[in-house]
Amino acid sequence: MKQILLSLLILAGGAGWLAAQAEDRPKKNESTSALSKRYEALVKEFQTAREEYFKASSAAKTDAEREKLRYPQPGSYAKRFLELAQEDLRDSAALDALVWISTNCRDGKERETSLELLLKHHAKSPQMKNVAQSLVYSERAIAEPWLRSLLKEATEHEVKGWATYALGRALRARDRSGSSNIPEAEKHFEEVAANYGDVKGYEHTLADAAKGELFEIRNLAIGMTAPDIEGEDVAGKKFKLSDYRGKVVVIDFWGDW
Amino acid sequence: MYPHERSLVQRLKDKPFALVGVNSDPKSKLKQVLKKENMTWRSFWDGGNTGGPIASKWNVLGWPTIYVLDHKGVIRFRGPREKALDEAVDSLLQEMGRGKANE
Repeated sequence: MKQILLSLLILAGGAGWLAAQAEDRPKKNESTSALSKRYEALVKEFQTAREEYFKASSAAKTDAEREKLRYPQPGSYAKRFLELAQEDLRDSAALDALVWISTNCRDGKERETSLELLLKHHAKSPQMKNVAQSLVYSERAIAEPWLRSLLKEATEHEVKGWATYALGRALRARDRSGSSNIPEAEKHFEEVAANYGDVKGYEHTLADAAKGELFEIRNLAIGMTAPDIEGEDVAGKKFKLSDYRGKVVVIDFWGDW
Repeated sequence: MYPHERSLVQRLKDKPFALVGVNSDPKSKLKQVLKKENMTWRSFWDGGNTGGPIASKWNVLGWPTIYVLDHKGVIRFRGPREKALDEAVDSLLQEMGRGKANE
């Protein structure tokens, strides 16, 4: 999973490796309506194109051959998903299509339209969790007002938890660009830390993820003395970050992937 | 990343500088990589996956994540890579040198 996600991010021009997205995809629709069948067919078409790409890419013998291959960007399918949704916005297939756009496309006009339509027609759906999740890494201006509106409407526990966490992240991201709202971000993270220990986060629970944010805000900002790290090296030998006091230190969180 | 880190460590081997890793790989893989990439610097082994105790505590959500500390242990830069990392480290070493000269 991680390998695949990594390849996708590289292909999408993503910088660095993002923590594995929780694996909930929009749930398969049980309905057999014509619209949902067309939705399923469109998803299949995209997946097939992607599989073909990976197959061709690993079969390619030279870099030149590989460069000729075009990765099927989700954005190039967005218009068709949106047109499908707009045929009957209240239909569950429309919900699926709008969630597909919002969670697969990083930006674009269709993504913004989908986010608006989801708020208008499907704010109470449990699937909004996936959409809120997709905004955790977004630094786009739309994230903050969108999450605030969602929180006014949402009733599902998991949706509220993810939306609150993502709103805290959006407020921190805005902070990096200048305007200060860390106190409000902290308030949201405190709420998640207190009330969402039962919701799965990335590695641990959503409450743990919020505690991590609070720790980072309160201990890891520029100008703060770094908290000590105590641990073992690969040979099992104990050492501490503070052993290096008196030296300029680069701490590099890394993995070979 | 590795070649750049190797050259940074090599270039500053006589300076008051240390590169400290926090690694999220399984131990067997880490051993192989350390050898293959000729990594002379030390890494904390963080339990073999990205949910390890150090990365979780430090709220690391993307890899690599980089912090640069001055000689007093104060966090001075977050996230610089490549040339920006060199410049960050050099500026702190210079600052340290100036501080010593004034003592």
